[in-house]
Amino acid sequence: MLALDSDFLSTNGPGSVAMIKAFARGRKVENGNASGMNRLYVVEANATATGSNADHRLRLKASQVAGFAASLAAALGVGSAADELPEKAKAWIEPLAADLRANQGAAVVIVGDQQPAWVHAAAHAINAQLGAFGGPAVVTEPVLPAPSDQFADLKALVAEMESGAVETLVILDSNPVYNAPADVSFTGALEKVPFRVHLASHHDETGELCHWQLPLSNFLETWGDIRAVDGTLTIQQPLIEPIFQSKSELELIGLMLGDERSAYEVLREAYAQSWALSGDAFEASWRKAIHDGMVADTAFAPVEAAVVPEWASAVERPAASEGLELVIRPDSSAWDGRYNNNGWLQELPRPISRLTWDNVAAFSPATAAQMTLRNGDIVTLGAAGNKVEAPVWILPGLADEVCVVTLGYGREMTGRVGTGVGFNAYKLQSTGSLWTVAGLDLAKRGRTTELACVQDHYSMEGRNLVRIANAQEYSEHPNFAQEGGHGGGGHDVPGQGGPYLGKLTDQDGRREGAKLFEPGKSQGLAVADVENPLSVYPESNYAGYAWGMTIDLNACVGCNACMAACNSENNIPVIGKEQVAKGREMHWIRLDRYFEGSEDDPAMINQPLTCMQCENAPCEPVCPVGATVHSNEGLNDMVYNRCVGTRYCSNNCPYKVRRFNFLLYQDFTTETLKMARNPNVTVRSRGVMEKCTYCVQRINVARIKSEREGRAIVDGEIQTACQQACPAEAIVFGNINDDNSRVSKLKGDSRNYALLEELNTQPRTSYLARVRNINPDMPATSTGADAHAEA
Amino acid sequence: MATQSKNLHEAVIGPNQTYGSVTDTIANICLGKDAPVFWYAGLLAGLMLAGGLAHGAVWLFLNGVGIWGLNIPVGWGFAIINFVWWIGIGHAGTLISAILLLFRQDWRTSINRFAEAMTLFAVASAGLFPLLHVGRPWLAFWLMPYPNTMNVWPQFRSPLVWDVFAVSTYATVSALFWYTGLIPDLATMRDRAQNKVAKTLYGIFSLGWRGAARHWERYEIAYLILGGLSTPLVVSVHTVVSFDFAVSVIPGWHATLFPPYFVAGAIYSGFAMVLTLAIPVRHFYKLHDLITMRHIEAMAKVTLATGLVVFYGYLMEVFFAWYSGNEFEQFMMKNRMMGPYGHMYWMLIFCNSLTPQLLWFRKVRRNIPVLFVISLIVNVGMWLERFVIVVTSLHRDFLPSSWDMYYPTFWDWAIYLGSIGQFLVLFFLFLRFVPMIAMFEVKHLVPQSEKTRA
Repeated sequence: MLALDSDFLSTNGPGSVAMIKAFARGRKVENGNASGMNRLYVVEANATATGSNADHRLRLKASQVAGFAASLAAALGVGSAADELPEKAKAWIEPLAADLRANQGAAVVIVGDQQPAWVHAAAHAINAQLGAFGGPAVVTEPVLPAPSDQFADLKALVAEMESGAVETLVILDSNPVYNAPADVSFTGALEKVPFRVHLASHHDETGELCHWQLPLSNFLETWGDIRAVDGTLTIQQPLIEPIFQSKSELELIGLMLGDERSAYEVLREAYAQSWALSGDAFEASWRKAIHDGMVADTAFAPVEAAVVPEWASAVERPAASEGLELVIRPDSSAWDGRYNNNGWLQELPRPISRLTWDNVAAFSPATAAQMTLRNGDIVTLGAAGNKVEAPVWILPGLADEVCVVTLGYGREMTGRVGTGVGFNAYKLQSTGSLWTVAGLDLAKRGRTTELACVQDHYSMEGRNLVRIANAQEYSEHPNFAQEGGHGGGGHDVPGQGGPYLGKLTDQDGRREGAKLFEPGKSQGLAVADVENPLSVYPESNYAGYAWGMTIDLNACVGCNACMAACNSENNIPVIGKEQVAKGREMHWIRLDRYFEGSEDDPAMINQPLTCMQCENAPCEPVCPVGATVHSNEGLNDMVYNRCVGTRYCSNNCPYKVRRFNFLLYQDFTTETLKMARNPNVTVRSRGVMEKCTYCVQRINVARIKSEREGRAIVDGEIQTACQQACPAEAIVFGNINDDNSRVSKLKGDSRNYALLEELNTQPRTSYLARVRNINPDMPATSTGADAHAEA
Repeated sequence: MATQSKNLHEAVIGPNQTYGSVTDTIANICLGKDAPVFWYAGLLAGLMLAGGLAHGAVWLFLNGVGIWGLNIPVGWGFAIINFVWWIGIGHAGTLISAILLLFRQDWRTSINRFAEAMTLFAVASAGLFPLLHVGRPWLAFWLMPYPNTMNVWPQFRSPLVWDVFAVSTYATVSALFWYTGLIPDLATMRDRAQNKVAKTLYGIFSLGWRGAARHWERYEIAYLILGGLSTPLVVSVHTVVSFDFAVSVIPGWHATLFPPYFVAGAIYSGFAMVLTLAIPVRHFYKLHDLITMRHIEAMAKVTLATGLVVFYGYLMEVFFAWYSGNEFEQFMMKNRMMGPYGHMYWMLIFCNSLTPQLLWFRKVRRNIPVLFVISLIVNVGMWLERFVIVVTSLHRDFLPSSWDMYYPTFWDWAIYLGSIGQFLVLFFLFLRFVPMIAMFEVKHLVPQSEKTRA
């Protein structure tokens, strides 16, 4: 796979869950056999979750991607001419083209939505040449019923509004006052419309300028139907009656047409007509569709499509930019601004940067050094005739001469969560240059601000926390993870947490960074002897269930879904930017991100971390009141009622996965929040320690159910929230007393290792080491390919 | 050699002292109509600082420990630093009273009373912190073993439970020891007091002491027994406190060195604090004849000796880190010296290891202003030591992803300084209302004083 500026392995785009699932399945390796593993090349300007999964990653300005595509197309014999490219990129073309060609029919090029049409055309041409159509790539009719140039439509509407031709404007669930590009003067035009109606879930910027603000039902409150990316129809079934007196879009349109039926009735009638069924026959199909979650066989059939020979001149090809380039992207949390008022998402650390509660102007370390920018500096960004003030964040892994900003912040009218958070990057967007703006105007303001990042340290300090091998080493040493592994190196960004950090990693990180796995050499640390555990306390005997978990680092794409799911399942409070900045984030599962290799061109590594549920848990003996105790199934239980809050357990936790209610973080009074909570999970108050429980409430539900049915809990019956949400199926949970459970089998895999096993904590959660499918013919990158070449 | 022999012959108290003069000097401080300006100024300063403590404690109980700079990974901050610091300071009193009593070091008599008082007040300040520190202070009594309907006991494997026993035992025994030693003097005060209220109060607290031979006999036995009981406590309390750290798995805490190193540190800081208090008291109350240069110099020597043990501890920590071959230990040491809190470590080495080397010189030991400054530096150094141990070990442990910084807030400082205020208030009240030097014990030394006169 070659991803051209495409973040297809994040939970953002359409079909991303299916894509992550398919990608992760292609990464599954077992006991030294890595032959079936896919290989991912990523060329991108931003540092994305997708980039962190790359076997080879190239940092390139967004505007240079077209040139890269042109050169690759030329090398594969579909383009006219190669392009001027930076040295590093040029070195990629030949070996990459050879690898793609060698995998005729199995190779595919994926292009990001934000790349111009020309790059998409080039990718189609390459894919056609590689025989990808009918294989990994499928062409269907468009999912949109009548695709059009939406900006042209919007401009036409604005012109009509300006001219007074529009008497009544009904805006359905959209916020153009906030998010129209800077060169579309929607706001001015709107005020010329005599009667304006706005249907939306929140009172926002557009609603403020309308005569009527109508409340919109949430999608979980109303009936409707949706098409998936492959065309499959899904009937949208509400989970709850509308909490407030609201209407769905369907109902509002119906009302405007004089149809007062509910969305349910409208929908049923439409399907009855579409299926040409009635009575019991319709009822049966309707129930089946709702039960299955989709209407069977509604995916679009693949269509025959050929790339026109003159594709390269069919659409305009944008030029590579000179100087500093602004790259605008949707935000992984706020998206286009619609989730801006969602506290869970605001506090969810953004992939790779691990920032919360803000959008930033992100720069690579080299570019920041060139412009003498430091983290938190306020700069003015000037583009599209506007200027906005933004805080600087230095993020290794970005392309040089690029400033990456995300949309969805700087809202003026939103709820109590989103108001005043971040800056509005829509002001920098114009219909001519939506996602990439050449020649960004940048000025320092001489002020700084504090940003709330949940992970200050970038480097693994040469510790073997995430164990990684290249596919070849893995086949030669399937047990590499248990033999000591290969710790990543990496670097800190100056100014991250203290003036001496840089010095320390110069000595440590660089030395370890280049080091690769050496067989038989553990890094001066004893590997725990599982057969003879060293403990003065008698070993526990688990007669019944013994719960355990594995996390496959080769599958995890770093999408954050586990964190969001855990928030929701376990009533985890949102604590706000100030508290996060103090280092008090409450997430029970976190996603650690390390940079490996040089600061300028690092590889990125993700590692989800929950409570390890240690067999010899260091937290347990130090609690003076016995508020954290071992269960007879091996869980490390928290007894909230008993906790007095000495925080000794957290101090003594080598994984630092415990979370403390330093203040009263829960909001016990807001009515709607009461409904959001999981009734099976205690809502923790001030002064109490909390942590991951392996979703003990789900275990108990399954236990009660199985006991009533007089049977044992079957494997797979219990899914933890993080496991359930993980699109990559990286997390497996189950009974390790059962030799046939999936988790037991995975723990028997050669890649299985325990984090910090030398401390003899004997964690119940273990990791499956990561394997990279390096192409030895590729030029050196910091993903370990250079070290490979030396070996 | 010359110095030593000279000291041996030097009288413990000044010349021209009689039984009467000793009693007058000491008792008049308490019974005098008015207190010196120095006393009012000190008490006022103490009250002002203690106001910060009261304010901070109220705010803390209303909001939670989040008003401090704590976070995850640094779950312990000023509260634990201050607790260990105060407990350490509290060690000198018992050491002076009990161990020196058993070793029959008669120079202890001039300073033991207020050293013990200092111990009590230091333990009182220390005792505040575990209570303020927990997340739900109203449930802190769960650390005590008591029969209850829930049938739940504390977790006896936790060093924090050991702490409860160690500190409460220490507080109890120190209070008893101090009070027992006070009884004969309280009786003297009762006999001399003119004011009716004072007479009644001293009368109540002197428990009917009449100075009979049987009283004296029982007193001596009781005092010796309490001295014997206190002696192991000097070692045990700070050993147990060190277990709070040593029992954990955190690099920088997990060390067998901790018990002796903590005990030495405690005595070191205790003696420094006695010097810090004795020097101004001696100056303002003109007690030069009762607290003589010999006392001052002896305390300076103990400070030097324990300071050297502490220095050895610092060196051993470095050696262990290197010799262990453990990358986490080695990183911890490197981070301690050169990490973001490196300046704290080097200040600590300056205060605790380099400064006391001056005490090798007799001139320094007998130079009151210099000694006072050194004692202050050592007090600061011992606080820094606890800061370095608590914060630098926690802030960067095993997983770099969880590393963070700890910055104290206004409330951290308010409560810390407030605890000093509480200590000062108690100490100044003690100076005014309780005989600060054991009159009857000093009288044992009057014959020596008379000899010097001759």
